[in-house]
Amino acid sequence: MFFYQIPAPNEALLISGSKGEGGALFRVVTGKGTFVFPWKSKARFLSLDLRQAQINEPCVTSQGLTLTVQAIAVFKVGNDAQSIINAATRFLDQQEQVPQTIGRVLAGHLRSIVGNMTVEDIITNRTKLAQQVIAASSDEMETMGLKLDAFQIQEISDSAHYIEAISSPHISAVQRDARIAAAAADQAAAEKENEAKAAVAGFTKDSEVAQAQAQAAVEAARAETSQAGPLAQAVATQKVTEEQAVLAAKQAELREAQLQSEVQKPADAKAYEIRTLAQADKEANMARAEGLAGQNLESILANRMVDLMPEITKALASGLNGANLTVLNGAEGITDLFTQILSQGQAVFEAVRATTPKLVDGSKTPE
Amino acid sequence: MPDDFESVLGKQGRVSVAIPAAGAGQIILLLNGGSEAFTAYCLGGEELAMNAPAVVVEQTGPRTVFVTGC
Repeated sequence: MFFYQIPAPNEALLISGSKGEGGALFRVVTGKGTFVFPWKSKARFLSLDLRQAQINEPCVTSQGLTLTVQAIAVFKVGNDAQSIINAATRFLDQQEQVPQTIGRVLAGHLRSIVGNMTVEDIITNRTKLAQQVIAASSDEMETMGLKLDAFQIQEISDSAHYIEAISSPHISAVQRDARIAAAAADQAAAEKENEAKAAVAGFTKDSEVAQAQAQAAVEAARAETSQAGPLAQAVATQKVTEEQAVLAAKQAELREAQLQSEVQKPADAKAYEIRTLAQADKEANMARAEGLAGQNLESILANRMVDLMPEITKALASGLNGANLTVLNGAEGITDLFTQILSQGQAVFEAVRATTPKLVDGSKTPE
Repeated sequence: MPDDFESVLGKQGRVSVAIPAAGAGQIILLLNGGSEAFTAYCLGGEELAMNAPAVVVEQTGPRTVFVTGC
């Protein structure tokens, strides 16, 4: 506006048409504005922004090993006037192509960098890598007015598997240690598990023993309880039996008493009666005998004869039976016979009296 | 040298890439309100380790300086 030009913070204003300070080919203005009069000057802008180049280049290491290295380079136009002038004179109109061009240049630098290093250095020696980058590129970049802000290797492809071979001992050692640690951990875990199992088994044993003891106590109590009924019944039965025995004894006693009262006593009474009667009879007889003792013995004998007459007659008749007696007088004859027999009876009586003196005494009464 | 730009001569900075006896390293200087990295060489076979302080004693290019330890 009104020929007043102001560069952006990331731009440099290049004014040609007059020499710059210090013999510069043109004026370089950054950070402030200035008048640019078209009829005497021409103003152009140069971006000072970061630019980046991607590099993917096969490289040979100092050991002759071929690697494919992928790197990224970040660079910009230097902030000082000399760098801006160098850059402006080289690619003011080719700013879009700068990354590609610089990428190619840096690819060559990368080959020289890798060629001065071993794989191990590339991987581990950062200082040496940075020094090699500076040594290889700084002069050319400076000449082009550029400053390499960052140069990083992103990836290394190793077709010979050299890097794997480098890493394998370490990997093996790490895997060995890991397996040892895992085995030790497994062993410790197994030990702990077995200890735990043993403890559990012990607890289980104790528990089952306690349960069995409790069960045994319960069974014993239950058996005792279940036998209590029959035992009580047996005791009761025993007592009943004893009571029955006692009852039987009592009944026997009662029976005996009954027998005594019903049988013995009457028998005794009967016996007593009989004895008493007998005694009385005896006494009566004795008394009678004594009474009779004074009577006529002959009358007694006569009475006796009268009593004995049938017998005597029978005996006489049997004696006559043998004498073949014939009665001729009829009824009178029989009366005569009896008279004779009776007279004979008188004679027999005399004979009997002679042979039985005791009867005369009357001490014994014929039954 | 244009007046718009500050001179690096006498500036003290920090070594960001170790400077070997025969070779280039890098030094970071506070310049123009910001910080800028310069390719750095040592004088007289001196070596400077990383992060060592250094003073610019000579400028041989727009981005190249000679330094010495301090």
